[in-house]
Amino acid sequence: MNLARIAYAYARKSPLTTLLNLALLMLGVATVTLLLLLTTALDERLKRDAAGIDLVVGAKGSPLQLVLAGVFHVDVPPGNIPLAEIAKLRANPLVRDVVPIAMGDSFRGYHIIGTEPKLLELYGARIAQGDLWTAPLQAVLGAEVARRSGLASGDSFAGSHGLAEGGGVHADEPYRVVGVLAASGNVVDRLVLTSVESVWKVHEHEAEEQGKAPVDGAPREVTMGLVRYATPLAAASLPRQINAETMLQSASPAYESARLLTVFGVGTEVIRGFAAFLMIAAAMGMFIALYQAMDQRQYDLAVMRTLGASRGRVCGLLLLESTILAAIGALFGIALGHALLALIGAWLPTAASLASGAMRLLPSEFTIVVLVVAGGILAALLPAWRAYRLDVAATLAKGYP
Amino acid sequence: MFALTGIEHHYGALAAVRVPEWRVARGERWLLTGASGSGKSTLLNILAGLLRPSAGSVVVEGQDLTRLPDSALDGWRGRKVGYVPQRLHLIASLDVVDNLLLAQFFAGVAADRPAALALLHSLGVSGVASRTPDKLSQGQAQRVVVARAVINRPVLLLADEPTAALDDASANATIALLSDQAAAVGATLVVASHDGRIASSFERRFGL
Repeated sequence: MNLARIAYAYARKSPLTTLLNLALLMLGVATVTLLLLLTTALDERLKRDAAGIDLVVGAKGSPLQLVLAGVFHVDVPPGNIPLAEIAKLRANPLVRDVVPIAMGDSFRGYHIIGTEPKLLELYGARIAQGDLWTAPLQAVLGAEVARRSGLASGDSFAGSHGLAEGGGVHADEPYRVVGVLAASGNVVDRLVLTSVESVWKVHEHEAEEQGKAPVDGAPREVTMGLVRYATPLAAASLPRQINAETMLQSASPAYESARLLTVFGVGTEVIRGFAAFLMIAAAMGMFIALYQAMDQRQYDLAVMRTLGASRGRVCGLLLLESTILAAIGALFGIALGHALLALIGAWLPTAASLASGAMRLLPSEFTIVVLVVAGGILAALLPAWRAYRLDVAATLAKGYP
Repeated sequence: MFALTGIEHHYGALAAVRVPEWRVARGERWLLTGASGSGKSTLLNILAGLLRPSAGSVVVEGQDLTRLPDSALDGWRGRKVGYVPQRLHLIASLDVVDNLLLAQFFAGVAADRPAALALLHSLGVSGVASRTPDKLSQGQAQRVVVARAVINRPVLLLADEPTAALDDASANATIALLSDQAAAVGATLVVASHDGRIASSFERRFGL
């Protein structure tokens, strides 16, 4: 026999109230946990994807769109830029490196990126199987693309026009897979990489088919350039210089990511507020249940006092009951939050990378448990104080409640 | 066994009980009598250490209860006093044997389930050990309440109006049960009652 067993026996005696309070608490905690896991995963993913890139340079338009398209590959680019501009940038002493990227096609929703092998350095990617491309229409698949498509070195596939699924298929210009990248945990896993020339070749062929013969000597274009600074000081002057002195636009992935998270932040704050409301409702439910229980249990507590229970023990019994309930609600709520994230990942392939952390515990989840248990204790304080102050003789004389 | 000296207790300006002196030896059986409102329950609560008297001393086996701090008094009550309240009340969320183990727990005594089951057996209610209190008859509940009061082998067994609302046969059986159990554990028995039917069962009476 111990206080926990007595507390459990009381909770079991009124299962509906106990389960309802637990369910409310679990829902609140699960919502907060899910938000926490998602925002952490999103934040980490944005940082990981943009880790090696200091600046994105592309056509004038929205800087956020430029970053979303060129770094995170979740948007269409604002336009193309002349290849010559990339050469000019390379000559700038503030620039260490520029990696051009040419976009326009996709394969089963995954963007086909025409680029140079240096792109792999930007994302810390490496070849797991096969080799890099050495000729036009050779492709290297990101790990997720290879896994989901089942393609491997030696296989062929045709790209679709446009960056979304459903575009016309370039069946006459199939790509041949020459390599597969190792999983790197960033956006490269979801890309198909090839040479810039491949993208030009596919679109020239398309233009020919449509009767629009390529103009000889017309300037070549790429979609954008991913820039690494030669010195940290470049961050202060290069973006301004590009925006003011060229026909290009520059955008900082770090700045735009932070702006994006701020925009998301408004939505997550609303959901977080709703989750807090659920948890407060659960705490109030516990308070009401314990307060009413105090009325019903006065005689029980008086009898316990006759058996030698101290004021502290009967007070502790109510506090323990609430603490156990809150702790169970918090732990199961956190488990539910993780399970929901895993389910979301299984149902929505586009969220699979965000859901990959579903089995990972964050340090802030410990804070959630502590806060919820503290809330449970707070809810039990007044009933526990009434138990502490119980007039045993008067209660015994009064009889049953 | 115990000695009450100069006991007075007031609820505000109202004097609830006044006992100049009352001395009881170990193992004696006493009936505490008086009309309703005369202070019998108050005096029983003072003897159990549930109430501190406004004045006077309560010495039980050499221990002055009025000088014990609250925590020590609670522990003393758990180990030394068996209390049968006026209403037969068991904790409804626990089964019968757990109600007995509860008394051991609060007294700081190691849980002894075999002893609890043996006690229930000796009182003829071993068959209800795993039942919850709402499944007990009035007679069974009374035996369980008495078992709970004596499981820690108290030196003082106190019962408050144990025969109220019982028929003659049940009233006599109840007093016999209390007397037998007090004798079995060597406790002094004090029964507070204004029930004239049981007066003849006690050689010693103390009137308020």
